[in-house]
Amino acid sequence: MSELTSSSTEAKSHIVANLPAATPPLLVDTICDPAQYRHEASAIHWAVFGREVPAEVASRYSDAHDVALSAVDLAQLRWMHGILDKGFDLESLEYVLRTRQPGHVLCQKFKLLIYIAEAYPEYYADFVNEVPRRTSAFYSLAGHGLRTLFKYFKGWWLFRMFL
Amino acid sequence: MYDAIVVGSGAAGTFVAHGLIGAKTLVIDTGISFAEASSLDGNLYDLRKRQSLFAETVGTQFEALSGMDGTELSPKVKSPLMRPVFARPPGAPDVLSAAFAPLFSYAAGGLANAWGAQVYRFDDVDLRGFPLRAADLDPFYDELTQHIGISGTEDDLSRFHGSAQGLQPPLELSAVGREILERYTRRAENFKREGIHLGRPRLAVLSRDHGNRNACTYDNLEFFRPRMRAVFTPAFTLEELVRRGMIEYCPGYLVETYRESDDAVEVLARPLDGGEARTFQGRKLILCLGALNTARLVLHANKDTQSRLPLVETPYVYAPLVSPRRIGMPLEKRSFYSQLNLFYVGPLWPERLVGMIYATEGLLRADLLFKFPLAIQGCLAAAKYLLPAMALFQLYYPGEPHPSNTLGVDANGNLRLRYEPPPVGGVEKHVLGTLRRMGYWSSTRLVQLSHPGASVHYAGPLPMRDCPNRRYETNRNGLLAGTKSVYVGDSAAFPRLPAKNLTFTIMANALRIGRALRKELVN
Repeated sequence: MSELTSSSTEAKSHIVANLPAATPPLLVDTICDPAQYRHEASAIHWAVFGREVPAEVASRYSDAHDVALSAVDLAQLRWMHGILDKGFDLESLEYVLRTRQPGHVLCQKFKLLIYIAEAYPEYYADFVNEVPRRTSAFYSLAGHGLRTLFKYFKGWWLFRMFL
Repeated sequence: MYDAIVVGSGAAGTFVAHGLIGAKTLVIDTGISFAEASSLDGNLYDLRKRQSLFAETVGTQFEALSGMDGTELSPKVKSPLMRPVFARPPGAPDVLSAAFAPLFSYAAGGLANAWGAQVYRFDDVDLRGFPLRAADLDPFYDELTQHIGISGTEDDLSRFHGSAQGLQPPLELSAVGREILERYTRRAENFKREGIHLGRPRLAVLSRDHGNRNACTYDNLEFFRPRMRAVFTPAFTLEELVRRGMIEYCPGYLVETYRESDDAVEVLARPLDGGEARTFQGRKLILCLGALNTARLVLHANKDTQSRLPLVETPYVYAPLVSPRRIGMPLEKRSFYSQLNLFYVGPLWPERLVGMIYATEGLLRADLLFKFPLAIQGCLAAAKYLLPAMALFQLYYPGEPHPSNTLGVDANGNLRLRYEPPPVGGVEKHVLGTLRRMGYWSSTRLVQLSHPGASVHYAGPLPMRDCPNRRYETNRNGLLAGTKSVYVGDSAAFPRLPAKNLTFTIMANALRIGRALRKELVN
């Protein structure tokens, strides 16, 4: 029993050690080139909506950084650019971070993109249900509950194995 | 020389000025103005379907994104077109406090440009600690009911709301409100025995046209469109007083200090555009800058950096409610967010508590999305299918003065606030359990306590007393102790706060004070 406890604690601390630091060691202005923002917007948009980001939303996303994310943790930003380059599952990583470090730059960038997207009519159907869909809603929510479990474990696994 | 100088144009300043009609009155105000949003004509969802609402919901300066670092900001505070209501003009004092984050308004009409429009009369129970009885305020409540246009009805809450005379019919309920009310009505006697009383709120929102203002159109724009004509704001009364030449209105000035002489008061005000300071003279000065700023100005005018005055707020808790029966139902496009009013009177708290149940249709999905414990695509599905089944519940506690909660100023006139949140809670479990029996589920684990300052219901620093015997107390007509002609017209003079929203009482009390002063001035 004590062996089990000990190994699970070790495993946990190992995983937590792999997470980017919770306390920002260094805050920087996010001076970033437009191509990098476009790359971020595209990857996050795929993770949330499963399709390519419209040019106007990507452009707003880039502009928003001057106001909403004018200073972020440099280590977190580098880490995020690293996972974008490696093409990891952003949805899984964002969910794990949201449960442990909701102020992480990746979570902030997801929020940013969703606020912007909601203002555009192209996304209306993503946010609003206009017809009675009780059965499909229950199946959808139940499915997403299971999918969330999968994403959670996948996120931890990614942190543990690769990050 | 003016008969009276009123400083501030919010709920208090406007109605003190209204009460002074007939006297030569000047209203000095920062008076930040803003345009009514003509681009938001129609229903929120019809508009969202056919055009980008980026400027109106997110903002060209990305206003809706401020507070992304985790600070919870009210949707109205973040709303781009509401921003002028909370804008801080150059030269305005700073707030030095890590514990209390108050909201101020320097706009014409004040914070009531963005209020929830809930209207409550204080009865004798609520006026405990005040040198006033309900009978002193009732005639003014009645007069305001006619002036403003208040919707509501006679129901189980009448014993808390008082007279229903002169009310417009209540607003239409959305499905969430209808469902809860129907289930309450079926077993009302049981619920009442458990201390839960539910009914329709009294709202300063028109259900029928009233003068030049149109009835509510249920367009879900309450969070985005300032100065909707159906929702009363003191700015409407202020405009009317100016248009009819009943007051002189001087916007664009920040009052720095005042000085009292034997027969007059001098007010020193600096223009916001940086020009030369001006001095105004009046026989009476009535301070209506909002509880905290009024107290700040009094201390600063007395060059008193030592005194610490009481700071009172009504804390609140909030929690989401979900009806499993409504999951997957279509969104209701026509809705007004204030749905039902709840009072708790029972053994779990020594005084009555006041709750509200709100519809969620008017909120941005992004404001709620990340609260669901799901991966992001699941959050989107939850926003789509769960939100039509959701409501928000809010429960206010009374606010009492406490030695650890104080207000002072530094040598530059900046506010220094010390605040320790009072212990509240314990009633939510009971109330949420009752709401579950009405079909709406929640959990005490989802209950959140407001941040200090978030209620925007402030009072206490210059309390009114029957016989004020200390410096910084006022008499029942607002006269500041030790002065001959400096009055407090706002909630700075309220010694404590019941759980009810105070704005309607600020208006009624200000009207009462204005009338008393007019009588004195005319005689």
